[in-house]
Amino acid sequence: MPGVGGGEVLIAAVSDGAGTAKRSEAGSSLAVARFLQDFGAAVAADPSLTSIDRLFADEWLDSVRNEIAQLAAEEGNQRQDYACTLLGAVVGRSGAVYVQIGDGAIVVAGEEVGEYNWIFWPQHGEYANSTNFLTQEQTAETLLFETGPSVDEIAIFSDGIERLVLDLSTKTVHSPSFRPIFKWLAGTEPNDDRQPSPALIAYLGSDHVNRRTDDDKTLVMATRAVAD
Amino acid sequence: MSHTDQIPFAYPDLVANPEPRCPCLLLLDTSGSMSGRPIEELNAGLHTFKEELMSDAMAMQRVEVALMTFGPIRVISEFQTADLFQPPTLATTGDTPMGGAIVQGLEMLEARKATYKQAGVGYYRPWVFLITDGAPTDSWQHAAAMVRAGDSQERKAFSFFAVGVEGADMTKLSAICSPNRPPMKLKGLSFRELFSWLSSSLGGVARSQPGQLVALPAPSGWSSV
Repeated sequence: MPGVGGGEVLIAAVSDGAGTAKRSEAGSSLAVARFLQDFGAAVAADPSLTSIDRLFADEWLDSVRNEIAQLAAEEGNQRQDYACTLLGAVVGRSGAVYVQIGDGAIVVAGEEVGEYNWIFWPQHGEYANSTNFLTQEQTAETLLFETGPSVDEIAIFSDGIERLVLDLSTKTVHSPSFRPIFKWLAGTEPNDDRQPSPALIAYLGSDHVNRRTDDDKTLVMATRAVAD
Repeated sequence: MSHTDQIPFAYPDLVANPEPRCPCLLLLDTSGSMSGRPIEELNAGLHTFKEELMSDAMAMQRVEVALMTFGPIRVISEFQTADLFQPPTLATTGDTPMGGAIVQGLEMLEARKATYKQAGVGYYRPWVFLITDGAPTDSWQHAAAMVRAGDSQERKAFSFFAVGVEGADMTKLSAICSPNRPPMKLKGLSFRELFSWLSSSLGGVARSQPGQLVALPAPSGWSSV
């Protein structure tokens, strides 16, 4: 999306619906749509991103939870029937803003070429099948918010991808897993057809990936780099 | 943190297979009263357990089984994934130091969790499965306190299941178990059905996702009302 001052701004979000929460698909669609819309409007009004602060994020989260509560009331459900995680990023010319509730992770290019770092470590309780959802109580404490310098490469993914790209024993990103995909991405032409990339679909559907996990897998990647 | 701070391959099984683990501790009564058909059926049940876990590719890599018998208290196998678990042929032995077996088993479980954490391997809420046809011949109050503290709404450290075979003292078992998870009575010697249920249940836990209530299959095949 073109920003004031001629720079492009990236706004991206991933939301993973919770297990068998019966309306989790509605919850996650709503969360992503609201993130893109509201953070998009905020950055259009303030390309410096300085007004997109912790308070903005907390208030935004309250407003989304209220909208879900309203939807639940209309549909005769509970708020937790819409349970989902949320990972979002706004990357501008001179800075970036990140939010997260739940598992999965946001990974960005580090200072050294070919190295990648996580923004928030995935939120898991003691057990592998526990995490936080944006519909639960106490989200003011569970909402993670961070600002940082602008980046040229970013990936956002749900928990099904975690074990493929994160080294759990050192709590680091396994950079060699990302390098080839970012390199491939830099070589592709930008397109607006709004279809998921067939090459990425093939990779996520491959035996190599699915031997390790049968969780849902969501992956969003963006780069400003252009292949040589 | 640099890699030289770590001992490489201190837990090769967790490095080679970093899948999240679903630990299951079996505490089995092999006291004299189990001799004859009961111990034969129990052994057959353990073979069923292994076969069924092996038929589930995900459970095979994620379910970890440890096996202890009593009395005397013996660790027959330490925690290892189902593909490595070899079902033993158990013989009947001595008395029934159930209290001591539970305490030692729960301590072994805590140590395994600590190892998972060190290795950065995820894990699901562990299951402890006690099968007995009698009553404890040792002091069991400490064991009961540990079970009730760990299998509670507050701590959720593990889920403790007890199954009483014909002749078991269900009253004492109820005093050991968490009130939310009373002991169950085995229908005859249906150990095969019991272990088939256990492997299905563990398979369900091992693939469960956040926010998902794991629906356990009904225990009607092996438990009597």
